[in-house]
Amino acid sequence: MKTPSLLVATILVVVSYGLLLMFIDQFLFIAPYFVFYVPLTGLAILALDMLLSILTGIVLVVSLQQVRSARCKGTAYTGFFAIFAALIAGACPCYYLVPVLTIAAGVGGALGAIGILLNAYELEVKTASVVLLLIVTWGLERNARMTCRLK
Amino acid sequence: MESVKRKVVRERKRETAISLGIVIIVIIGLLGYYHGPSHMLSPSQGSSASSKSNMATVLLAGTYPVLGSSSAPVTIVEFGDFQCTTCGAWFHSQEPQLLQGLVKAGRAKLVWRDFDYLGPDSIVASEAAYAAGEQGKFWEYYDLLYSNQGIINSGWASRQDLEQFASQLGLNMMEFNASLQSNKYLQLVTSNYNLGTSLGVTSAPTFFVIGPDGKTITIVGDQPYSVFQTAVDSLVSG
Repeated sequence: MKTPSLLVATILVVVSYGLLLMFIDQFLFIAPYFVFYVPLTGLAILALDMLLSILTGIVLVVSLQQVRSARCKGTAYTGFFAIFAALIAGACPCYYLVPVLTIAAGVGGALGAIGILLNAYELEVKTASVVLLLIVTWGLERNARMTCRLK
Repeated sequence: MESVKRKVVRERKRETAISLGIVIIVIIGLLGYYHGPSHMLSPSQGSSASSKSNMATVLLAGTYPVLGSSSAPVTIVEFGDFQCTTCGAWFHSQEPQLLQGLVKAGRAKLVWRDFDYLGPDSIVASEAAYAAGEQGKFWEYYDLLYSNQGIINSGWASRQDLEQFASQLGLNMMEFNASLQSNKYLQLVTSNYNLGTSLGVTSAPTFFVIGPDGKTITIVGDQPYSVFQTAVDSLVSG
């Protein structure tokens, strides 16, 4: 994060993504009134949500930057892989959409089963996402150092 | 050479702005998609007064269990699923306050409509609750189901467990079993689900707070008691 534009971009992604997660996890409500409410039982999920947003923001912006400034194929591949990993990890909260799709398609079915499974293991899924993002962050950091050495 | 460099820098800045724009649009799109249907029902969306009254008429038609005074000016219709964990969370954290502050105070009554979208155990649980209702114990059975919630479709709402809950409440087991085995409430359960989807319900719990004039406020999710209090206040004060 050496340039202000990268910092601003990261903050934008973190804030947008964090708001999305809080909304999906029902900590933030916009209708009928704007309410921010965290029950005691939701503190662990909120902490994971914040961690996920911060890591997703860093990984997305840094990897985009690495892809754009890549001098060799290896660097670009790492960047692409990081973007892919960030999207996979970040996409985990989208399982909340599965029940909605299930309703659209009728009760039951494979979609419903996946939704139920992911819902039951929400903490584990989110923890795995955080671990994946941490590994990717470490990979990006190493990649950046290698590029500097080449220069 | 310098102008080429500047051009490249400008190009890159534009690319970054476009990428960020796309990310933000996708996030806003997801937000809109996720809560879209509920917004359609919100009074703040500018629906006409007649359509609000129509919605209240549809919501209050037919038979359903009611908790509270029939003369209460506000009706809160809960669309829930006994297997839904968010419904269970709301039941434990917010419902006691709602019952104390609004229902027992005579300001609102609570109506149950099942929205069984989580599979076969949800449907049987609803049927069992209605069967308990025949003996005047619907709400007690409702409390027992939410208090004993397990992992979705794991068998916690098996027929055997449902009979055990009925037995705990001291119900006449012959009558309860006969009612449950007849599947006589299956049609009600199906029609409640269809009613919910026709009103835009996509998740549980979803609440419709109906004022004395039929004006309706939709509350989706495990929202705090203060939201219900504000909604009731605004509907009563007009």
